[in-house]
Amino acid sequence: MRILAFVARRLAIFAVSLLGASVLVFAVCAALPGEVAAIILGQGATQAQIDALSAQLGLDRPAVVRYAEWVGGMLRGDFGTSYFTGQSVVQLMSPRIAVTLWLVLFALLLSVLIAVPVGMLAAMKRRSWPGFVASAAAQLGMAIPAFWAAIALVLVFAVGLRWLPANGYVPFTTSVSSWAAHLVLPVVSLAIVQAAVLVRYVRSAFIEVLSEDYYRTARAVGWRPFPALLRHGLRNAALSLVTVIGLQLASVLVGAIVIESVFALPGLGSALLDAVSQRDLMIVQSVVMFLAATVLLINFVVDLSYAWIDPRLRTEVEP
Amino acid sequence: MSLLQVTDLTVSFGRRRAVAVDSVSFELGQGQRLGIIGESGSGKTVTALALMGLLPETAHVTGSIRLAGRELVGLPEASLAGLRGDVLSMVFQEPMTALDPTMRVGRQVAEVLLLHTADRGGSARARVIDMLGRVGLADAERVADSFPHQLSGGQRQRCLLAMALINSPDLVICDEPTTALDVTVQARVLRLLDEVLTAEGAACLFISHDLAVVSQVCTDVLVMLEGRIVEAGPVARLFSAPEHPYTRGLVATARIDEVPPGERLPTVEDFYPREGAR
Amino acid sequence: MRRLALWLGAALVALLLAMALLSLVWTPYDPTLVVAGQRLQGPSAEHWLGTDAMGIDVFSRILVGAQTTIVVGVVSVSIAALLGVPLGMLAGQAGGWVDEVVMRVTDIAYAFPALLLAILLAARFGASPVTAMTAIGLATIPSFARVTRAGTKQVMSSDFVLAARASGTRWPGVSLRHVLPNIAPLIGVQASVTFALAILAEAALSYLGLSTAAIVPTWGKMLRDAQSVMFNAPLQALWPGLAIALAVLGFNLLGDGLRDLLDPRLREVS
Repeated sequence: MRILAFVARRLAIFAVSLLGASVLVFAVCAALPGEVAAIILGQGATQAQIDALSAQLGLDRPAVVRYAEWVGGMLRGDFGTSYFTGQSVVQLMSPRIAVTLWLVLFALLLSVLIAVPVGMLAAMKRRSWPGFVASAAAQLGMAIPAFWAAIALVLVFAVGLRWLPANGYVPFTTSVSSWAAHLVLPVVSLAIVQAAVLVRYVRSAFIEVLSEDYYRTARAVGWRPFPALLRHGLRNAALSLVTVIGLQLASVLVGAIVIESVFALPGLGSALLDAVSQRDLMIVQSVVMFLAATVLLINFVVDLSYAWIDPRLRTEVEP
Repeated sequence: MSLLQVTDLTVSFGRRRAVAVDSVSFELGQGQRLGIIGESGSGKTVTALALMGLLPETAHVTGSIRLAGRELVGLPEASLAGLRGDVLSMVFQEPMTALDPTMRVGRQVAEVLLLHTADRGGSARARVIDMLGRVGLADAERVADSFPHQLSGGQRQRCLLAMALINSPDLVICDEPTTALDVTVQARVLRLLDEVLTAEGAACLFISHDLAVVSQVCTDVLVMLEGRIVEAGPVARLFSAPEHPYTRGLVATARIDEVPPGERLPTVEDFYPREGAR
Repeated sequence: MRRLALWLGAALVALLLAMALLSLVWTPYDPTLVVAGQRLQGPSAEHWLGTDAMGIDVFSRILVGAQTTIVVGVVSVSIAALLGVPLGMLAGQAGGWVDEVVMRVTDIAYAFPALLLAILLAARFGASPVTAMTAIGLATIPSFARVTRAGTKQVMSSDFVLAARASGTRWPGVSLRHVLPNIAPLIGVQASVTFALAILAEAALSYLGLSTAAIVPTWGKMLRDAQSVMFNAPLQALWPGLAIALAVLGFNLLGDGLRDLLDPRLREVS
């Protein structure tokens, strides 16, 4: 079975990637026990103090044991505890995941909704001014730092027009309208930059379609250019775009860290940045691993979606 | 009155107006078969695309193309799209890539039908199966439910033929429809094309670089060279008494079966030497 | 029209270089000089772009910021290219399991974009320009490796390489004499685009306070400073943002222009 072999291979790659990512994160954050204790104690700590703390935290055991403990804990849903406050990382993360999730989800959705029509326009009209304008807008959008766009949007819509709140977050359960209002500016500022990057991929994917024989066939049987592209191009272009959108997720997630900081949103990103400034390595280690695992998981799902989009994988080839 | 009347058709490309087709004129009657023969770059495919109105945006078209008395040059895209696939249709060279790989073949054929008929009745499926049968696909039901990658080149070319014929067009343009196929499959598809065109009563413009292939389907031939028509006439006359040296070369290379074994095969350049050749 | 991207990109990059070079020998004012009496002034004849919250001349800081931008870009791109290109060539030429291993490693690396890697390194080693540049460089290795691998595969399957191998040239010879010269333009394009990416990543890191601890002015840090005064002096956020955007635009356009120049497929004649 072609499709089973395909899924099995993807699953194996996903597992190996998770393993590799966890080793990398662990190696950076926790491989050398003495340094962890030294960082916690800060400058001026004596070697005896460092050794004592290392022993107290169980950091003097071999790295392999601690790695196995960390990974084993995560598989059971235990992401460790903060070295400073003793709070469990899961407790810290759980209310924040929703904030980041909404931000990333809506931003990705909005960027696709902007990028697909604009990219199609840029492809079809690439020799005349509408295409040129669309491509130029994408170039400009790519050059703008998301946090700068965020500051500009705050200045206009929050400070100037007073339509929307400048920062902060209200949970969905408290007030839906307030929740939405607080998310608009962060989502838009994250989405426009991502959309600009996507437009270029959409454009080249559709330019490819325009030169395909099946597009010419569609035109020859009487489809007009735009419907032909929608009917016979979208699915084919999606084959290459789905991968791109999967890869984009990593940059949206990372962009969210910055945007959360601009708008003071209590998401995973701001927790991560707080932990970095306090050098709370346990939190950093587990949150970074969580984010990386999410990216790998999404890319795994994206890979699987090929089997659904591309009939060449879904069906058996008959002689 | 003839079905297709092309007068002084000239096509040029780009800002420099590089001429690809130069003042080409010909006529084609109802149900008639006309071959256009020439090498790559001779302008034969550009002529076909000009008739379909499918040239890229960079092309400039002048002259006149009349189909059943209606002028096609300068016609808006919406009107042209209404004619394509309905009154005139085209079969392309590459059966392997000319079908949408993500859509079942039956649906692609049905689409052509529904695109040009107002009623959206449920009879489309039956007509598609019928059409696929008429182009010689024995298990039409199974083919209709297949994706292109599950079919052979010959089967795909038959499906494209079905798409071109399902709305009973007046004119079918075939651009090297068998070049990409194996020689044995090629012969079968050509015979089929001949039968189906006769059955449907459609006129055909058959484009090829191969005089032998053209002679199997067509009654008359145009020879194109560097954007111009250099010779025209019935196939039989062209074979027996070619006038232009280039045509003489073509005839000689089409009859390699007459060359005694061991002797060097003729080339077009033996009859029509060109600058830069050799 | 077709060369517009190339020339505009080259002009913007040249402008960035000129600013950095100029700032080495001359700035209107000392970019670290704090003048208490002239905080947050608007643009004027003395201070073209005004002064910031500490009374420092903004134009001088923008000029010096160009230096940081170039240093960060050059170092990051060098790290990425020096590691990514050999890796990609190895994968493209060796094929088989070596190729598979390299590709899987780059798969993992895609889960760690520059910013995430920089956060990880900053948590462990402390935030500094060095960790920022290292993170950006390491995070962009995969894209270099992939581009190089694809280019190498293409060159390796071409007739002239087959001929060279058939006549007995061993692989180091093939790599240096045939593969590298042929993929060099591709690498140039990738370097230009990565440079743009590095500028954006560094700006974000400075903005988050994860790059520079010292007083060295960077455009990202200027934006961070500007945000705290944005209600009174919105122009403060304009200049550094504009500088970042133009620099990124320049490198992206340059990369695109080079790519168009190289890719004959994009030159649609008919």
